[in-house]
Amino acid sequence: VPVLAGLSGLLLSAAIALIFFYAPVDADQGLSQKIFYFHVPIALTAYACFGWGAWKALLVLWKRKPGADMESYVAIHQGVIFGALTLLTGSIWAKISWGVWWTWSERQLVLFLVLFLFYSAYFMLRFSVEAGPQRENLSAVYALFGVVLIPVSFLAIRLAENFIHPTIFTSRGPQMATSQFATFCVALAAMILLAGALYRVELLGKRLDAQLRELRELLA
Amino acid sequence: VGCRARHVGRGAEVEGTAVSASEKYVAAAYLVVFAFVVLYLAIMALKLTRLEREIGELTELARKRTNG
Repeated sequence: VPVLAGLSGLLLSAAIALIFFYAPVDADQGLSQKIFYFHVPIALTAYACFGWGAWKALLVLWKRKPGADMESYVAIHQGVIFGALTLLTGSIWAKISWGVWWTWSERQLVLFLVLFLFYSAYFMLRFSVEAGPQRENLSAVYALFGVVLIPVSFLAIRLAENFIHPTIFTSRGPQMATSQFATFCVALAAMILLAGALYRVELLGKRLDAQLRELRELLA
Repeated sequence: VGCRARHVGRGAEVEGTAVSASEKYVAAAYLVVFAFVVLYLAIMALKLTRLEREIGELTELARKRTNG
């Protein structure tokens, strides 16, 4: 955890320095394009967290791996946090670029909101069932269903015919300058490391909590 | 460039004003991320404090049991 946290802190600082002192100001969007360097990595990290949560959910159902249920839960929790950040930073960017905080006509936005709400509802399902194998199974199945929405959400923009949401990564590669792409890569690595560090910290806390509860019961 | 969004109702703004607005929005976006991370760390710190207190209570309980 300390190594992950240190590395993420270092990379985040490097990313911020690159964003504001190295990457050029976009000719079309101006300074507001700088939001892209955090907004897109945060969104990709949210997808990664949901994907990781689904993978752990699969391990719950397939291998009955001990602890996988908790790992799946924590990963989805991280995904929801990063999802909320994606929606917030995206709204701010939309306001300055399109003049509105939100638009329902954009499939990419609506599908991401659906994905976010789907995984937010995961917690309602999880905490409405008593702790035990039934809760583990139900949560795992739900987490696996949600993963289907990830490629749909990711590809929505490419399937859309009439959109205003920008497409940066096309079949011809990233549509930006090398310096912009390098900055983006550092920001993405920083976000993934940050999510990894937060995931480890939260998991550690949850495991400690469970062990303490067990100890309390033993001593009672 | 791929990261070109269609500008709605912003074209008529004076250049100086537009840059100022951009600065505000970019700062807001970065502050939101920063605030989230700080809030998350604060929640984790509170949780760690609670766990530390519980460990103290359990240690005390175990000590009393050992001493009879």
